[in-house]
Amino acid sequence: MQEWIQLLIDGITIGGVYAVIALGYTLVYGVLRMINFAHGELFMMGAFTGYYTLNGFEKHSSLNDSVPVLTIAIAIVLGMVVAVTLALVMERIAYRPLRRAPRLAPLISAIGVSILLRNIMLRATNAQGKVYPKVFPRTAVEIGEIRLLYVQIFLIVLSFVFLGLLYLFIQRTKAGVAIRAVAEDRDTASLMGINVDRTIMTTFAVGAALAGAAGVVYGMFVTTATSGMGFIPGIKAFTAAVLGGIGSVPGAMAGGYFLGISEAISTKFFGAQYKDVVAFVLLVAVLIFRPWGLFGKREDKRA
Amino acid sequence: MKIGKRALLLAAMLATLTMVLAACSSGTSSKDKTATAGAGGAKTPAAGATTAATKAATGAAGSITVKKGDKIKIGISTTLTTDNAELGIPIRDAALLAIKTKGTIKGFGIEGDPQDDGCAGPASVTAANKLIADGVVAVIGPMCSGGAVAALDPLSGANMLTVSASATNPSVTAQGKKNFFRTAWNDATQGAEMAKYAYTTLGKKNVVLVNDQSTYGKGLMDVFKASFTAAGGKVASEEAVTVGEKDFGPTVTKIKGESPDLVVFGGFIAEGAVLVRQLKDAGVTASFMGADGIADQKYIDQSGGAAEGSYVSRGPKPTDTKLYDAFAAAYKAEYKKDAGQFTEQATDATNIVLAAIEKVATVDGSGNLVIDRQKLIDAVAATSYAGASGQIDFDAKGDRKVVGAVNEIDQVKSGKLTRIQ
Repeated sequence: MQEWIQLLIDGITIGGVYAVIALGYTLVYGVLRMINFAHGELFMMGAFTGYYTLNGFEKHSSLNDSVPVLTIAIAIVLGMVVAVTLALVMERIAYRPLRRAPRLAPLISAIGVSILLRNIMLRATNAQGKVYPKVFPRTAVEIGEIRLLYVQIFLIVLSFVFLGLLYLFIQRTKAGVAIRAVAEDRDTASLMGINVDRTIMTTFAVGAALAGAAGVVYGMFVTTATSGMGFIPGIKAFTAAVLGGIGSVPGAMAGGYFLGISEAISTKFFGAQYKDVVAFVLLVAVLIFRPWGLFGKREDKRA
Repeated sequence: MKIGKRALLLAAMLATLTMVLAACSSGTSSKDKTATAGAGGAKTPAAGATTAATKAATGAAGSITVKKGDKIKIGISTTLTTDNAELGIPIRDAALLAIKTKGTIKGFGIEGDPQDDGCAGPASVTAANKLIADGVVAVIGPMCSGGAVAALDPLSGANMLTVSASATNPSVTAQGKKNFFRTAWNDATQGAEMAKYAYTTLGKKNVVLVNDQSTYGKGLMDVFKASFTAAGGKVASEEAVTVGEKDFGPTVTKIKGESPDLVVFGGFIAEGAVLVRQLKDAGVTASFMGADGIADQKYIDQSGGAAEGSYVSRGPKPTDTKLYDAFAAAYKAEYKKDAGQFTEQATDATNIVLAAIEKVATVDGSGNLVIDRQKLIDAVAATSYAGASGQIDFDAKGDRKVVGAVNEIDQVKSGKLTRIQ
């Protein structure tokens, strides 16, 4: 029983990461109908920013030991800033010129940006994995056989907080309404006086901020940053977004947790070598019966 | 809107395909990285393949000619992208240093031609074809066993002398390709020695094996399992991790449930360091054992202290370390970094190749350098070389003959790999 609870916790941990990244995919898809394949790399850049920030504090001050809350907060904010900046530059250079191009063009452009960012970091780090300084004590809460690292609890809670904040942002703020309006119908939204360009940039920025912050916290959890670390979470989060119904915010959240937990449980049954198989079989199964995903809207209704 | 759905489906299929490929080859994203890889830049693959075919035809029949004033090209097939580049780049650097140190052969300059082999089949075949098309005299590499098995097909078709410093899986030489040699040791012996050490010396009876789904990692664990169970030990379960992932939570939980007294890992640094730390975080008290894929200071550094006490099997350092020390000093002087795992095998592989070229190359009437491919291979087969990694002789399969100890076992003590057997 305890092993099952532990597996569930493992699933929720990684599922939260998938969910937070998946939001970036789903938001951008919502407004632009494009998959931003470079989104996983924003997560990776966040992890590196977190590393450089915390490592800087470690080397030049004792703040990591005296006020870890402050340094972690700064690392997360900086991670968000870097990711947002990159996303905006990316949008301006690689996507906006292609907005009226055939749909595959921005997709390929996104893959290009993804490869570019990965290889820039590979060169910048000389292919050396970076190790986070010990900001979080590697101690754990233990209940019987169940063990939860403090940093893991932090990751789980923060994922929930981010998801909640995003939901409020989309539902309650003016910018959120604008995003929903552009997602509904870009041309009509622009006729209603919504600045479409700005709304698209806001969407990219919000998604990137989430990915950047998730990167920092995930980096603290796994204690490493490598240039390739955004790729698999990126692909998995994309899967989660499609599973939940791409374009749907609650769908991305549910899809992330669903995928994370099913991966963890399938590891118990088939071993980790088959967890990707299980994840993608689930994806295919969902898409056969509900091509619009668990929470998505039927696209043909809207056309 | 119909188009939207189609594009989405296409994207989903693309993603699935990428994952499947990554899983099969276990070289993360090797596919889409090949395009950007390599120092020489990518020529159109189609053109490369055609030239490769023509060259192979003439090459197999005989020899390669280096025109007067041209440089002798040595191909280096190693992993330059993905996390495994942390092993691959030092291999390239060691080979380039050996080439630079040698300087010239019979008045001809030498240059390295490094290509990214992605540590996996498809990318390694691309790299091999590119090197054949580039007209290299010999290839140092491929880095990984999975890549070597696949790439040996085009390479042996071109009768290309190929010497790998790091591809250790038994299947690589089991193919019986006459053009292939390795300065690394065959895992068939390494895996058996590891099992013996774990069972007899450490007294471990109940183990969990973890591999990274690569030809190397899986192969090594298979050999370990066969020897360990034959000796009477029990393999509680066999797990796998995905290259490129950083959170092995569920796998760790499963391992914890088996309560093993030893966890054995077949794979490389990036995954090994993360795994050992997460095992420790989860409160698994079992000892940890890895092999040459993690026998590097980077493994210890990236584990954040969790590697302390783990056992690492690797090819044996020669008892006389004079040559190794000289190499390590030269490497450090050139690159301002310590020589890591496989670098000494890489420098030896390169030196063996260069010495063989020197032996068989002849300058013809018009001042061109002519190298007979078969003679070159024969010269390497007859090599007896005292190198930085010890005495090197090859057996009929191209495997490195075992001299003295088959492997050494190191333990991480105070953050350093320390030889204990």
